[in-house]
Amino acid sequence: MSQKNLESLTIHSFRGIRGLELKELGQINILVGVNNSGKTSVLEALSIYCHPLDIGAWLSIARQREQGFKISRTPLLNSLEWLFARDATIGSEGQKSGSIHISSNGCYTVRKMNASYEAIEGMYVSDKQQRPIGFYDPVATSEDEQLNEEGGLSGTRKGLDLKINLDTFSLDSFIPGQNIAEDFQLWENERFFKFSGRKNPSLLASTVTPASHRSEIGQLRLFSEARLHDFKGDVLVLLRQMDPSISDLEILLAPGSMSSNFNIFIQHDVLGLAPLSTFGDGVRRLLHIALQLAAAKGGILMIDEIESTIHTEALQNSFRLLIKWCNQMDIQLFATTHSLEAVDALIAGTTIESGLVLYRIEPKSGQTRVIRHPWDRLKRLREDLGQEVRW
Amino acid sequence: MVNRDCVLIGVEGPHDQAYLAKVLKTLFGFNECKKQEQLDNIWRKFIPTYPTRTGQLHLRLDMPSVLLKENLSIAVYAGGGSDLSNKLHDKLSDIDCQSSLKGFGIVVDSDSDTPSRVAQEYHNKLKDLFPEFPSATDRTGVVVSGEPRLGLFILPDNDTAGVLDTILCKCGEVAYSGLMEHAKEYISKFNDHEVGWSNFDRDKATVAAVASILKPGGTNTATLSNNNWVSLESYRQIQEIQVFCGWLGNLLSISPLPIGSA
Repeated sequence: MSQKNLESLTIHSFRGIRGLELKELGQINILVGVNNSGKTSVLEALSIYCHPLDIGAWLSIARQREQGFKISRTPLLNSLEWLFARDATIGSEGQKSGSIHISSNGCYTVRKMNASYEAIEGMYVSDKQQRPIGFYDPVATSEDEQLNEEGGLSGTRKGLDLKINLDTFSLDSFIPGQNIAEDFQLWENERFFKFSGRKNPSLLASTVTPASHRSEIGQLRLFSEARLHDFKGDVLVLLRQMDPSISDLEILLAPGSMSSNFNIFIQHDVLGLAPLSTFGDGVRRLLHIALQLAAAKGGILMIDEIESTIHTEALQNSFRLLIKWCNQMDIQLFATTHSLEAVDALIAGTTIESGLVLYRIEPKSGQTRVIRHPWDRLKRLREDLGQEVRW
Repeated sequence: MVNRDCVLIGVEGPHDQAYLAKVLKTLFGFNECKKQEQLDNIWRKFIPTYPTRTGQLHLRLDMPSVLLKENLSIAVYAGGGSDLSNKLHDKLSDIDCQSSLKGFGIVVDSDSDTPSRVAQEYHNKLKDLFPEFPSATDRTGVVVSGEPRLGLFILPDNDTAGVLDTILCKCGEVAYSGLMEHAKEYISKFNDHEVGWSNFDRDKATVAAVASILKPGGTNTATLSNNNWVSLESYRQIQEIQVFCGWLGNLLSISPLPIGSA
């Protein structure tokens, strides 16, 4: 069997996680645990680890938990700080600091990532008219700000000094591994994309959150990629698990639309052509998962709350297809769930060859313990012994 | 939720489970836990679901007997004969048994193999969970100290071949000597070969015959719980029960009730 991108992953420190080891990773990795055990944090850590020098990815992950809010309730830099382990929040000089440490084995070129930050302060002088609009955050507005003589704003501003160190290796034994060190200064109320770092090294990774199917941003691009990968037929098979009357997908301009905003439409045997947004969460989320699958070929797909919006009766068939495609497209899946029905449906929809592994995350004092069940033991525990495996 | 010092004891079948529960109640002063809210967290994992995902409607529910005394909580789990080690291995792989258990013991019989080979077999199957699990036994049964304490007792006496019913026949002589005499006379009329008995089936049939006289239609499991096979008197008179209680006391780190309290 060929080596996976990630054969093992150790999250030494990230948010509240300490020393979490995911050994002998499978093609399909299911994360369970009680509330606040760190399941979503594992996906977030993995997302960052797959794009370690892409500051845009860092910021996106930092804000992921506020996806449902119209206005972010936490200033962006504070959200970023919360990604870091908090055991060293106050440094020797009294400044805030923290660290993230992740390592892995497998084909992925990054073997180790160490990141740390320190809170910094600087002077803020800008023309009011030129003040960035897109990143205006009412919570973060400094009380120290005042108009300067030219009518602009001046005052102190807060920032973060982010240091990222990577150890990489090459599959080519003649090319030595590298140590990469990058330093980023991020300031509140600035256009952070200026500091977007670089895209490589990276590992292709897609994330599905419980709410991401409701966002239309990127859906058309994902749909186009799926079409180009000749994956549309498979997407339709998956959607028919939810509604057998779905026959096709199209990108169309809504009739009478004054703008040039195209949308995804579903060809439905009963409803005719109907915009995707008029369908229920189940159809929209399955479509979103299917499109993310196509985008993650050869990489990593992360699904938070895999059972979300999918009816119990549709779980098994949906998961069977999802796993089949993950295996065919060489995608390593990491999915969280709270649902025992989802665990049972995953077992029923797989065989030992599917490479399914369940990890239960248990926070203990000072360390995050992991219980690992390979597919065959998991099957015996659930099907023969009826044992609860989520806690 | 309650959290006491927890000890898990694995046995092969429901008869052994009933015997051990009776010993703990009668000779050590434990009470049986009958309500879910009294269960310690760790035993909640052992509550079976019905039916299991295999859909079989008539499988026995393998709920352990849980016995409580002061700060001790003992679960006696019957694993279905020779499947015991596999089932325990699967179940314990899902539990942080090193920190959740104060003791872990196995009580099995030696009807088809020698005690030393039985000990080696259980050691091999459980060593990745408990590297110090005994690989040999001695006349008094073995308890390895540590966290958790690890014990192995091979019925009837860690030395000779036999089963639980070998001891129960001795218990019957103490508690129901007249019935035992009649039962043995009746059982002696059958030829092992003709009725297809093997090894220790004669002892089992004798106990069953007495059980059905004590409570017509009753089972061996029920009579163990409801009658006087295990009592302070049988403990006083039968060496095998004394040795077993000594082993159990070591595993639980407590003493049996004094013999004089009968």
